Parts: sequence; structure tokens; C-alpha cells
Amino acid sequence: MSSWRNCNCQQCRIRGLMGPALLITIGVLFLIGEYSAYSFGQLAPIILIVIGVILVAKALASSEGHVGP
Amino acid sequence: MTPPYARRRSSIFGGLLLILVGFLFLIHNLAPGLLHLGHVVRYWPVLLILWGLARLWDYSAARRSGQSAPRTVSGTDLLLILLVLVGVAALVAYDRIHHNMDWQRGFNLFTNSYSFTTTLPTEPVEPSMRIKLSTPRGDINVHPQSSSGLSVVVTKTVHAPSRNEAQKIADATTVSVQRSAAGVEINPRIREGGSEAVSYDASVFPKTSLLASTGHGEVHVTGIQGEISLDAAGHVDVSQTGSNATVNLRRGDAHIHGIDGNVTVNGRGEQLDIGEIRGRVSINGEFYGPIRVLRADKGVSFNSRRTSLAVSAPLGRLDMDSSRLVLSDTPGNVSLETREKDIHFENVQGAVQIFNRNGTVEVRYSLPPRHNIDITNHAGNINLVLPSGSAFSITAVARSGEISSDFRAPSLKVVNQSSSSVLNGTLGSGGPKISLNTTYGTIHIRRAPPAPPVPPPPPPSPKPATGIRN
Repeated sequence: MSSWRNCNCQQCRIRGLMGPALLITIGVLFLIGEYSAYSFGQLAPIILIVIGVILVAKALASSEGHVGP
Repeated sequence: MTPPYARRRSSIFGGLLLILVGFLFLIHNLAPGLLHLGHVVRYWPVLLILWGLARLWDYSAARRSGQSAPRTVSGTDLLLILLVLVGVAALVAYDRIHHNMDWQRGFNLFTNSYSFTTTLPTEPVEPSMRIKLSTPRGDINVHPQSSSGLSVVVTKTVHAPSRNEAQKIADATTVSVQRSAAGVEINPRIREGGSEAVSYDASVFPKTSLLASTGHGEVHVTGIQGEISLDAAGHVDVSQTGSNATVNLRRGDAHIHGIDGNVTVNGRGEQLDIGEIRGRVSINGEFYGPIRVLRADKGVSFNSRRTSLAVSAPLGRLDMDSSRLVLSDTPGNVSLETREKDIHFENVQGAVQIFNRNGTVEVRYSLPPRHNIDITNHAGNINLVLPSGSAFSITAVARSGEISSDFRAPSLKVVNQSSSSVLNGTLGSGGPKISLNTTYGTIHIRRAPPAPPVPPPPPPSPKPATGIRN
């Protein structure tokens, strides 16, 4: 079981955002790919940027009150 | 229960690196040609700086929260950097190989493709009418026919799991033909959110003008005498048309040959192959290259974010890619402003003006120059090759560089100062002004080997029956 699921510290909360944020990003990109001149393949690097932003936010957040290893 | 404790922070380096790589790939995708391998080779040490800064931040953050300092060099970070470099190199290599890769197709894993062909009733058209063909997805093929009509064969391509379902979708996809005094307009009606392709194969009375537009697909046009204007995202092929042609490209290549008017290409894409143009060629936008123009009778203008080029008179040849520009045979003036390109001019008879950075500039004359030459370069050499018997007055300055000249005369003096070299003076009388400037580079002024006089460019030959490439 992943440790971040049962911890309430800021770092672990932000870590929990990763999945939903990626799903939303991919969904939005597919929509944009369908209805604009840009294709999904062209916009895919935005996924990397979103992962990067979340990792940085996680690294910047406090881990006070972290539970688990 | 374990007491709450602050766990060791993760480094911000991984996240920063991903953001950087994401932006690079995005730029690569959305503005082709803006990034190339040279940039990776030149700027990779920025990664080291970023790494150091991230580590510095990690260290001070750890100190602030009272933890022991993290290790400076972690294997994970090294692996990340290595992965990124390998990834970028692979991407560049892949691009080189699959230059014409098409992202738009695909995602058809679970369906089959079915095609349905119908022929629209022939529409009578008058000369000077405008014919408009549009489709959101699909190819457009236009060729001339002798009778004064417009016949269109429509092909609907449907992706569906079975033939029956495909037939239903195809039946729901209709094509409307609207007539007005000005012309005929053909548009498809596609179900909401549908991805059906509607392609046209049109035989057109040639004395009409044409507007063809496809959201995803190719356009081929031949033999139309009126003006044509094309929108495409894919390959465009135009040949043997009688008036001005405008091509708006969103991606892909364009081959344009044998046009009796001006040619304008806008947008972005890859390869451009343009030849036998009676009018002026204007290219505006970002094209990955290679770009080739052979014989443009009223000159060429090219404008991208990196390069602006104007040729005022008939041009024999222009060859350009991301690192190189070769231009030859024009009686007109040429002005060029660019960077990171090796430039080679040959047999330009008018005035020459060049601004460049980080590349070499070479200008060769086989006849003594009659108009001014003005070349400014930064971090690169300038080679000027002149025939013996040239007359000119010259000012050449190489900052942090040297000047070497094959032309020696008492009136030509090279002065070497502490960090720069200056050549001033005149040779012969009545010659044009030559002004050469570079920094961190050498200026070579060479004498061309004696050559038989070059005959003047032949008068424009009659239009050939077929283009160089169809």
C-alpha cells in the first residue's frame, strides 16, 4: 500500500493530486486535439510539464506531520 | 503509533527538469524549426547549472528545517540527466528519419475503414466564377476539363466496426452544393463529433478561380487558369496554373511548379519545393525545410522568425535548410538577415546586404561587382571572392579577428591593432563600396581564378509542358 494514501501532510496531499491532474490534462488534450489545428501528439509534452509542476510543488511543500516511512 | 516526523525532502531538480523538457518538446512540436540539434549541443551545460541551483536550494531547505544536508551528487539525478539527453538525441534522430510523420492518423485500432464514392450532378459554370471546395477532413484533387462544367466525385471514408454501421454513417454524411451568381460552393455536413473524411476529386472548367480548404488532408491542383487559394494540413501540390496562387499550410510539404502568377505560401510546415514561377514568390511562416526555389521571375521574399530575405529581381536558385542558405544567379539586389546559418551567394549582380550571426558568409563573384556589398557577421568568417580586375573601395573590420587579402596595392592597407584588424582603401577607380564587419572571425578577400566570361542569364524559356516534379 502506498504510504502517501494514509498520510495527511502537505507533501503527500500534493502527491495525491498527481493522478487526477494527469487524467484531466490528458482528457483536455484529447479534446483540444479534436477541435483545433493542434493534434494530441503535438500537445503531449504538456503532460510532462504538469508532472514537473506537481513534483516541484511537492518538493516545495512542508512534510510536517508526515506519517509512515 | 509512529510519532509524526518530517521525512527527508525530495529534490526539486526532477520536477524542474521535467518542466524544462516538457517546454522543449512543446516548442519542438508547435514551432518546428525553432529548435535543432545545434541548440542541444550548445546549451547542454545549462542542465548542470540548473542541477547545481536545485541542489543549492535543497541544501538550504534542509538546513532550514534542521535536517542533515542531502548528498550533493545523487545517482538518481545523474540518471535523470542522462535519460533526458538520450531522449532528446533520440527525438532529433527520429525526426531526421521520419521527416514526414503524420500525427493525425492513428487511433483506428478497433475499427475498419470503409470508403463510399458518389458522383455529384455536373454543375454548369461560367468563366470567372469562383469554385469553393471545403472539407474538415479529406483530400482535394482538382484537374481541368474541357467542357464548361464542374463534376465532383465525392469519397466518404468512415471508420466503423462493421460495414452496416459504416453505411449508416456515410448516408448521414451529406454534401451540399450551393450556387450563386459568383460561383459554386461545396460543403459536407458531418455528424456532430464525427471523424469522417470527405474527399473530392473535381474536374473543373479551367477558366474559373478556385478556393480549396481541408482541415486535415492533402490538396492537389493542376491546370486551373484563375486565381487559386488553398488551405491544407498535409501535402500540397500545385502545378501548371495560370494566375496567382496562395497556399496556407498548417503542416506538411508543398510542391508548387509552373505558375504564371505570384505564389504566396503562409503558415508552417516542412519541405517547400517551388519552381518555374512567372511572378514573385513570397514565403511567410515557419518551414522546417529544406526549402528550394528554382527560377522565380519576379524575385523572392522570405520571412520567418529567424530569417528575412528579399530578392528584387529574377532569381535562379535558392536552397535553404536550418543551417545553410545558398542563393545564386540574380541580376537584382539581395538583402538577408538571419542567424546560425552558413550563407553562400554566387553570381548576384545587384547590391548585397547580409546580417548573420554564428555562421560563415561566403559571397562569390565571377564578374567584377558593380553594386555595393555590405556584410555584417558575428562569430563567423566572411569570405569574399572577387575576380581580378575588380575595382572597389573597401572598409573591412574584424574585431577579435584577422583579415587576409589576395589583393595587394599601396592604396590598400591592413592595420592590425591590439584586438582587431582593419582594412581600408580603394582599388582601381569607380568601383562600388564594400563594407565587411565581423567579430570573432576572419575576413578572407580572395582572388577568383580566371574564368571564361559567364554568359548573361538566358531569357525566360517558354513554359515547359510539365513541371519539374509533378
